[in-house]
Amino acid sequence: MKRIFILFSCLTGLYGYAHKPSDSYLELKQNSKGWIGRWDISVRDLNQLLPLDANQDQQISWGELKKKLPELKIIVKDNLKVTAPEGACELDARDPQIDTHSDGQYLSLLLDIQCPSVTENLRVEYSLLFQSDALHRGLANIETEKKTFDWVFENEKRTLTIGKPNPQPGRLHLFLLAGILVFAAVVYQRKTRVKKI
Amino acid sequence: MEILITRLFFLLCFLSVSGQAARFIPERDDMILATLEPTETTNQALHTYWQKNPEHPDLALAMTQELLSHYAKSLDVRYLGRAMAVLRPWWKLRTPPNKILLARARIKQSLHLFHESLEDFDLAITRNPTGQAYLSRSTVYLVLGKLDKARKDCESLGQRVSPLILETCLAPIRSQQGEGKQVLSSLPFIIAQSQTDKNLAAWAWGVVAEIAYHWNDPKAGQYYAKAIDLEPEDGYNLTAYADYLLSEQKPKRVVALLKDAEQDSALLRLGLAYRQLKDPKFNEVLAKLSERFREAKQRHSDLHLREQAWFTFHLQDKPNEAMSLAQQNWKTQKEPQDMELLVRISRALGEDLPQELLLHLKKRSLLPFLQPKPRDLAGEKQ
Repeated sequence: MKRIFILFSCLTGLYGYAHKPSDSYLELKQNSKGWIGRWDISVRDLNQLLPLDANQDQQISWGELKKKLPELKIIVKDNLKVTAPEGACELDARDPQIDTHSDGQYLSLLLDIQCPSVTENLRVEYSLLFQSDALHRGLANIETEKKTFDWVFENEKRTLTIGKPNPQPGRLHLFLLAGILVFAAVVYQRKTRVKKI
Repeated sequence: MEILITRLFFLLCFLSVSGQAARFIPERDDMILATLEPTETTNQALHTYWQKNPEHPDLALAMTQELLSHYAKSLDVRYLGRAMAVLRPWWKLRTPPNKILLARARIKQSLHLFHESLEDFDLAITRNPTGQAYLSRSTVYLVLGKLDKARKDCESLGQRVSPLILETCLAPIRSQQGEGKQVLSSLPFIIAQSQTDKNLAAWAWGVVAEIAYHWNDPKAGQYYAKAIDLEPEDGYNLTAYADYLLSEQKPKRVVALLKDAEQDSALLRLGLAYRQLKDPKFNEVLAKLSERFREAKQRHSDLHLREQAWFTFHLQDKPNEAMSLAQQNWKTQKEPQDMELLVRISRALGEDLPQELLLHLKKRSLLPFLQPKPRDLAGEKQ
């Protein structure tokens, strides 16, 4: 008889998808001056991005989290890119607080979003945790001056366009090039006509 | 009068769940924000080594197996997400190495992607028909209610495994094919006589306990206790035992068993226990579960159908809605707990059983499942 290696507890039936998966909660709100936001990220998930348990007692205290806030803010900014039609927006994460969700405590940060000009059109790229947890989702609530809607960021769906899509730099170049070519062709044609006459 | 007081209690419960806690800045640095699972801090060496070589199949497999074993204990979906991320280089490949294929199939099974999981198991078995692959595939067939196929896979184990594994694989299928009493007269002796490891024995006692519960065998509680003694953190057996204790009208023991649990399935049982005890902690559990189901909806996840039906029926008193959810769930999941839920909801609504379930039960000589358990009759919902 051959021996087999198997984890027998995996062979029982299914008591469901039985624990809350990893989610973060992102709010973006348009006001008369531009955009502001708030982002709640689970303390357990932050520990995946940056080890927080300094004294290794398998617990994360407010003191331990506070010490790592500068690094955490950099990670947060690195995983949320906001772009306006005129260019990239500056993001600042501030006023750390703690919020309680259904599966425990979350770090809650206020987001100041400074874009080159006041605009309702934004492109938001979210990349938090997808590298380490393929089931992670960013549950977003977007409030523009015209409407409010929900959006879910996932590994295969990392970008959200609010309002009119920003022109893609590659396409802009193509349009410019095509314009110059058309202009040059028209000028050339006129000159050749003048010569013939 | 008692009904009025009960209704008032639940009205207050529902009113109080609508409020949300405010954000705050902790006053003390030593305030604990999260307690990590021991498994989140162990095996750092393997993790570091894998991070340097993420496309090495053996390292990825070792990481995945570790994450899946943590998932089996905690039922924490974060471990599945992490395992999926580890297998990312092979996730969309048609023909990854066989060991990776089996791990991928198990993750898909846990995510309720049953048909995709079967495709992976089929390919793995065609390439290399191992006991592990047959055993795992039989579990998927069992969840889908394809008992003949599940039985065939168990029988294919033949000489590849010990008689205990073979009999335990066959037991839930035989039970659902009407042979529950025969299983209960033989399997406990086979387990008792086998010198085996804890994990295998806990699985086998858990299977016996569940069959005993469904066939109204008075030893069900003893069998669950044996399984939990051997593997005290096995999420599946703890939840199944809680179901048994609730049907025995022993909510205090459910609270003792699950009071620190965070999994949805455990919280559902804890909620019903608090409800039976008229304990105000019912509010907290109800609020937590309501938020989780709302978030699952926002995620566009229909993985919770069974749990949501259970929640809607047992904790929200909405049998019509629960029936619709339970019927939707029945389209994919056909385990005894799915049948039991449909039977209970039908009884509460005073309706006949859904035709499809009745046919399923008749075809498999499972009509004893229709008989309410004597203890149930005393404690049935009012």
